[in-house]
Amino acid sequence: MSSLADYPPARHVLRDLALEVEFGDGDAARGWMPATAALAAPDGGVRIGALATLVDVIGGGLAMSAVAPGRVATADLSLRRLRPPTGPVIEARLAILRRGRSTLVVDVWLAEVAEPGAPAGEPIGCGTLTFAVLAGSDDGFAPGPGRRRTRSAFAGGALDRPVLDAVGVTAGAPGGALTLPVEDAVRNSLGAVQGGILALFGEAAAAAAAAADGVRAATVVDLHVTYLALGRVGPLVARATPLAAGTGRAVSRVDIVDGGAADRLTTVVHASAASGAAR
Amino acid sequence: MSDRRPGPPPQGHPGPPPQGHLVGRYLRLGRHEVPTPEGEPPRLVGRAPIDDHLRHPAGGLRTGALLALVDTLGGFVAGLSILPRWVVTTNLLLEVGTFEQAGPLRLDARVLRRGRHAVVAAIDVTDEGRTGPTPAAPVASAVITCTVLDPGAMVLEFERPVALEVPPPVEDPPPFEEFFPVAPAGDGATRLRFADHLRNPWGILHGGAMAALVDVAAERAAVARAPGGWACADVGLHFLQPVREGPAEARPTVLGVRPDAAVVRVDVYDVGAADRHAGHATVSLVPTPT
Repeated sequence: MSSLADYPPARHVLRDLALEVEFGDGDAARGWMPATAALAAPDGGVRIGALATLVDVIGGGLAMSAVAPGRVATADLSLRRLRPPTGPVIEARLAILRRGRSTLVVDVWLAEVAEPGAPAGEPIGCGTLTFAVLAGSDDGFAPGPGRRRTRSAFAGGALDRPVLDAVGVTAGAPGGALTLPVEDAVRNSLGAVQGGILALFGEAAAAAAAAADGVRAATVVDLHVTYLALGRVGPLVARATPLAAGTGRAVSRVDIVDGGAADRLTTVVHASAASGAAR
Repeated sequence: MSDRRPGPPPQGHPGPPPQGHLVGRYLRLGRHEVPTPEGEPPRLVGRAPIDDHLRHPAGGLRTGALLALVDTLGGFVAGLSILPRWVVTTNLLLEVGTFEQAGPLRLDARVLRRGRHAVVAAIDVTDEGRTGPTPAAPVASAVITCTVLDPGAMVLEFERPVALEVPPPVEDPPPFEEFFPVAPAGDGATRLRFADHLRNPWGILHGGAMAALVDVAAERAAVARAPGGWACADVGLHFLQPVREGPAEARPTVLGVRPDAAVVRVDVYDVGAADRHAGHATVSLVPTPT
């Protein structure tokens, strides 16, 4: 395993997203992500899975800072888009809602800003994160960011193609399932697929299921991710089970299994998709 | 770090009653254990009719009742999987696909992950009265996460395999908002009186009762913002602290109205315990025929 100081590596999707994060403000943290065309959902706004990636990165750092020298693992993540976010920059603000012995609950607000640090407008999304608190270790992992306010950028390249293509999501598996190879560019510091990327993968499967059911410009607007096990081997396979329709939304449960590890269930995603077509 | 444990139950507290908690009996939840291979966690199948007094104007079981069913059955399967310890719910997610439900509802509960400190269970809800092209499609799906705790003096003895039939209907059952005694509390808030029949085996407010409160409060907030019919279709609820004193007060905020749904945030406080922040939920409500 690498030290957190070496993460993410030079070629990694988190660098391609050009994230910037700020810690050290007590029980709160914030971060930013440019709203580029590569992140656009069919309705034109930033994909909720990309928002989840931003939130997961900030939340992980905030949680680690709060429990150091203990470590954390994301247990679940929920996001709701209030409207299609178009930027130019997306800001995520996180604050610890509840700190317990074995779990941490974090509140999430999303807004659009002109640039990192600029005043934020009305919220464009909200959500929560839950972290499981693990025992501390001395395996070389760096402690959390501490109390001094720091801002750091995951400098790197930019996405020159849609993010789903960039991370390798592919259709064509039996039963309409999607696949995702487990490559270094999407791994977290534990060597498994990064939590935000799993959210993005689940979103893609839910949107594909909605499109197959006839929803025009199907865009996931509510996303709930439950993390069960690490996906280390791959390829990961996402299979969507649509729920019975009747609320005007396409709702599905997506099971993400590790195809290279006896189909071990790694993640369960619940998603609601609505039509992103112009009215 | 503060302690989220609900505290020891009263000395000699009987624990979950074998005939089912009063909330489960009001909702007429039957539950049967499904045989599983040795070493595998237990599975439960629940069944509940959709009684008229529990139907939402949209047609199906009102979401607060469904949340209470999920919490009851999901918590029970999680607890059975971790005996001799027991569990308390920490968060609950429910997605409703359709309110066109005939009933009875079948709830399939299985453990997804069983760890030393937490158990995660999934509950798929199908409508056994459903006809049409996809009768087997789930009408709802849920995930429940529970924290594992030392049960202390709680008595945890169950006849296995679990087999509880659907309780028979009662004459003149209390309406939903009477069994879960809610009332407006000013400034758009809704209060739930902490009645004894809503106390769970830990002695704290039953999770299903908090879920019912969130359902009612969110719906009232959506109607106040955009008059018409609304139903909670997607609920994410975190139990932050146990409600010990009551009343529990839900304070909703409408965050926005999208083309497909209204999004409402609901925070629940234990008014009798210095307004302790007990619960946090975000809800998407869909428009329904009035």
